[in-house]
Amino acid sequence: MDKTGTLPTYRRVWALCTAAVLVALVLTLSACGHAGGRPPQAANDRTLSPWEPATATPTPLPSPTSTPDIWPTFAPPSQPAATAIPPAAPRLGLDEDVKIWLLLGTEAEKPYVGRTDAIHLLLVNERLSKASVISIPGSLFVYLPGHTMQRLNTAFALGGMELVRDTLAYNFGIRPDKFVIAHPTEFKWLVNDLGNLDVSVLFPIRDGCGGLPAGSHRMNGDKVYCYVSYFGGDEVNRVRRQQQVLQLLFTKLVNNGRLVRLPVLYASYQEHLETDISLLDLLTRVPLALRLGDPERVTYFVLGWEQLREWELPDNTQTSVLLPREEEVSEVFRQALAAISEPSPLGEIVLTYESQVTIAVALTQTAQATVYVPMYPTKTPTGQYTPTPGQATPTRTPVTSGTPRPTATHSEPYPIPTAAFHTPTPGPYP
Amino acid sequence: MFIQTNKPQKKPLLKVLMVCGLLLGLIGTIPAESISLPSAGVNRFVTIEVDYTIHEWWLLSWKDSEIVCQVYTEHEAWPDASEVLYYCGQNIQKQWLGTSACVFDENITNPQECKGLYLHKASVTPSKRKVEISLPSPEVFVSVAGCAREPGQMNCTTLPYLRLQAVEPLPNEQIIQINGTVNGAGFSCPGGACDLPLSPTGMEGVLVEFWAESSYGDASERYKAQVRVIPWGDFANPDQTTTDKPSYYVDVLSSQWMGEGHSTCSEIWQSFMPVDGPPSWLRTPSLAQELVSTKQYYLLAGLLIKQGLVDAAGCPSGGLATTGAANACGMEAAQAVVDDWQNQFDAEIMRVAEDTGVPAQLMKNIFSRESQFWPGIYQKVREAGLGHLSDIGADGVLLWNPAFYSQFCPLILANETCQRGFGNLDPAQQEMLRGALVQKVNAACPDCPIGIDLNQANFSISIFARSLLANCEQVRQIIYNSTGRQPGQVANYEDLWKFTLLNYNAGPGCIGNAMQRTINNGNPLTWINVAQNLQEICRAGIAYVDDVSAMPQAETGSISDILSTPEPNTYLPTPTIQPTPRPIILTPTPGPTATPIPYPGH
Repeated sequence: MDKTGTLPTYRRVWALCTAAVLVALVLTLSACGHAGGRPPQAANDRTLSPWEPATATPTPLPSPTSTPDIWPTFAPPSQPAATAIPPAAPRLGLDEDVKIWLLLGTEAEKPYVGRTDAIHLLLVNERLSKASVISIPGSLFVYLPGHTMQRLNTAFALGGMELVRDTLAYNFGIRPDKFVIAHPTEFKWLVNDLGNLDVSVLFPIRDGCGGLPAGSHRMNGDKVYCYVSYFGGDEVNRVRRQQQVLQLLFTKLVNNGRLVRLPVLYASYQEHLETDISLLDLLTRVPLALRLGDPERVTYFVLGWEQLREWELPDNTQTSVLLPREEEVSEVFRQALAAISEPSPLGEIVLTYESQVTIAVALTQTAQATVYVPMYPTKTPTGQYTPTPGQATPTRTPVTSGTPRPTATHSEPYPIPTAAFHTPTPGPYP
Repeated sequence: MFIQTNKPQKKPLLKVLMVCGLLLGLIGTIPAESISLPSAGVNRFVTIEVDYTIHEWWLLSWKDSEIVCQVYTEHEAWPDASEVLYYCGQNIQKQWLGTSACVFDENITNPQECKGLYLHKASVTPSKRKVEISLPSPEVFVSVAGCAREPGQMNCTTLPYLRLQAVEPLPNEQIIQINGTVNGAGFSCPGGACDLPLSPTGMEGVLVEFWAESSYGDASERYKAQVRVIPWGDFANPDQTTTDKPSYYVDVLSSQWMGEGHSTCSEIWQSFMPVDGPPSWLRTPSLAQELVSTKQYYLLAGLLIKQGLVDAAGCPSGGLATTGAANACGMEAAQAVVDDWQNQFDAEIMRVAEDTGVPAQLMKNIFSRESQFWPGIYQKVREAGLGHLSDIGADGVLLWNPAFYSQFCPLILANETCQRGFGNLDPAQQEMLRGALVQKVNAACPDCPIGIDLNQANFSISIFARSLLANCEQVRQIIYNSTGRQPGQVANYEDLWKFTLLNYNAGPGCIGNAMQRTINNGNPLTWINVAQNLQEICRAGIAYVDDVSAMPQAETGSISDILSTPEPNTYLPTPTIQPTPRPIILTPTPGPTATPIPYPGH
C-alpha cells in the first residue's frame, strides 16, 4: 500500500478569504474609495469624525460590556472516534482587556457555508493596543464536543458558531468573543475595493491560478482568492499564504485614511457576512485598528509542522489529517498571549495613520455639502490633527494623493447574491 | 496490457519542439487573464501497488538473427497479432504473420535459409505498478416523511416533509451538511439529514436540487427532484361548504427516490403519474395476491399437456389441437394447472417491480400477451423468456440500459472491451452479447422434469424489466430529439407507457416516424394522434398496445399472436375520448392581489 504522503486535498479550499475580510471588518479598517468597489448605501453613508490622537503611553480604555462567563461543559461524543479523544485543554487565563475574535473563511458562497478552511484567531489586548494572530489549518483533527474527532473546518457546518466556540474551548482553552465568516465573493470584493494587492510570491505556483512564478505580482480579487485557497499539497503553506495576504490587506486598510469610510463598508458588506460584530463594535475600535497598523504591534503565529503531525486515518483510505502536538500548540498560545501582554510605545507610523484619517475626514467634509453626523462617540471633531505635548512629531508626511474619493460611484450595480440563507430548519417553499 | 516505450526522437523534431517551447515560454510571461481556481475537487481514490510480470519478446530475422522489434506483454502466452502491431508496426506484423514454419528439407538445411521472422522470449521481469482505486462517493436519498394517512388512503392528511438523507460510505468521514435549493432559493441543514417542509405546488411541481458536503473535503453529486404537492378535495373551497378533510397528494420524481411508489420510467421521462393514480394496467399492487389471474391460455395448456403435467387423455386428440395449443376439452382439463402456472411468477414480478420501478401489472400483462407465461423458446421463433426477448430486444437493453450493460458485459467479454460501451463494440462482440443475453433468459430445459428451468424463468423477469427501462430511455430520447423537451412536458404518463410498448413491439423507427408526423401536423403527442400516424407496417403494434393496456379484462390472446407476425390491422381511432377522471383540485386560498403602485408622475 502506497501512501500519497499528502494531506487530503480540499476542493475550493479557499482559505484566505477570511483573512482579508477579517482585516477589513474585524480590525475595522476598510477603505473603499476605489472604482469597482461596492456602491455606498445612502442611509449609512456617513464619515467619521477625527478622534483623539494616539499617545505614547497606552491609556487604559474602559472595558466594553463584560462578557459573561460562559465556559461550557463539554458534551460527550455521539459517534465512535477514529483516534483517542484527548482531554480538554486547560482554560487559558486571559486578562479582561484581551478579546478574541475569530475570523473564518469558507469555500462556499452564501447562503452556504461548507468547510471553513481559513481559521484565524485574533487575540487583541485592547488596553495595550497589541494583537496576535494565530492561524490554524482546517484539517486539524480535534474533538468536536458532542460529535467525534473530526477536522476543525467541519465544526461550523455541523453545529454552527456554538460548536466552533466549544471546539476551540475544548482543544485550545479559549472561547472567541466575536466572529466573522466571509465567503469568496466578499473577499474578492474587498481586494478589488482596495485597488488590488501587490503580493510577493515566495514559492511559485505552477499548476494553478494561471501560473504564479516567484516574485511580486499585482493581483485582483480573483487572483488573490486563488492564491490563498490554492492547496498545492501542503496545507501549512496555504495558511502562511493566508497570513501573508491578511497582513497586506490590513496594512492597506489602515493606510491613507481609508478607515474614514468604515460605515459605508460595513453597510455594503453586512448583508453578506455572517458576524456578530456590530458597526458600533468597529467604530469604537478605530483608534485600536490604527495602532495595530503598526507592524510592531501585531505578532503572527501559524500552527505549522513544529506543532502538528500528519496522521493517516485507520480506514485504508490513505486519508491524512493533522494532529496537534499538544505541548507545542500550547506554547504557541502562550507566546501569542505573551506578545500582547507587554506594553510598548507607539511607533511613528501610527501617528501617520491618524494624520491620514484626519485629513481624509477633512477632505470628505469639504467635498460633501451635507452635514455629516459624527459617529465616533468620544471627542468633538476638530478637523485636524493636534499633536499631544511630549509626543514625538510624526516624521512621515501624510500623503494626500492616495486619499479616497469622497464617494465611490459605480456605473454598474454591484453583484449582490439574492439567495436567502436558511440554517438548520429551512423555511417552506417560497 | 501494453507497455509504453520511449521511442528515439529525431533531431529536427526536437529543434522544432524547443523553438515552440521557447515561444510558449515567452507567451507565458504575459499576465494570464483567466484564472483557474484550485477547485477541481477531491479525488476519492487510494493508490495501491500491484505485482505484475513483464515478458520481453524479440522478433528476430531468420536470415541473420538480428532483432527487428521488441514486444512486451504481461502474460505468459505468445504475443498476439495486435500486440506485435502495437510495438512493431504494420509492416513487421505482416511479415511475421506471413512467416511459415522453418522446416528443414532438401532446400533448407540451416535456419538462416528460412525466410521471415521468429519470436524469442528474451526475459521475464517481475515488476510493480501503482493503481488508483476509486472510493465510493457520498449520496443523498429523498423520501417523504410526516405523511399521516387515513387507512386505505394514499393521500397525506397533513403537509409532509421532504426528507433528505445523506450517506457517507467512508468509515471515518461524515456528512457535515446537506445543501440545496428549492426553486432557486438556497437551504442548508447541518449533518446528514434534512427535513424540508412542503407546501402546495402547482401541477408542474417545484424543482429541488440537493447535495451533501463531506468531511472528506468533497461533496456528493448534485441531485434533482421534481416535487408536487396537490391539495386534495374541496376543503379549501372558499364557500366553506366542504365536508372533506384536508389532504395532500405528494409525489416526487428523482433518481434518488427511496419512498413508496418508485417509478423509474416516470423519473426518466420527468412525468408525474396521474394525481388519481395510474390506470390499473400500470399499477403495482401492495400484495402479490392482487395480481392473481385465472385466464384460459390455450397454448400454455397445450404445452402443459405435452409435458405431462396435465392428464387430458380423455379428450379428443389428447386435448391438443393441430397447432399445439389445447382444444376446448384440453383447456378445461388443464384449467387448474394453468391457473397455478400463470400465477407462480407473481411473487417474483412483485419483487422485480419493487426493485426496478416497472409496474407489476404491466409486466404480467406483457408476459400474458407475449408468452402466455411459458418462458421457453417457441418453435421457430427466436424469442425467449416470459417477455419473449428477441435479438432486437437484447440489442435495445444493452444499448439503452448502460447500468445493465456494465453488469452483464463483463460476464461475457473482457473488462477492457466492455469499457468501450456496447455501441463501440465490434459487430461480432455485439452479436456475442446479444446471443448470450437471449440465452440467459431462455428457461427451456430439456433435461428438467417439466422442460422448464423455473429459476431461469424467474431470472428472465428481471432482465425483461430492465429491457422495459431501456425502452423508456429510448422513448425519452426519441421524444427529446423530436421536440427538444422532456417527455413529461409533452405527453402524459399513460401515453408515454403506450409509446414504450409500441417501441418494444414495433421498434424505434415506427414510433419515431409517427411522432415526427404528428408534430409536423401540429398535433399534440397523444397516443391517439401518434397511433393514427403510424405507417402501415407498424400498425400491428396498435393491437399489441391495446391488448396489453386493456388487460386484465382482456380476453386470452390467440396462438397466432405468439407464433407468427400478426397481419396488419386497419387501425380506427376511437372517435371520442373519455377524459381521465381527475380530482377536484382547488388551489389554496388565494392571497390578496398586490395593488400596483402608481408610477411616480402618473
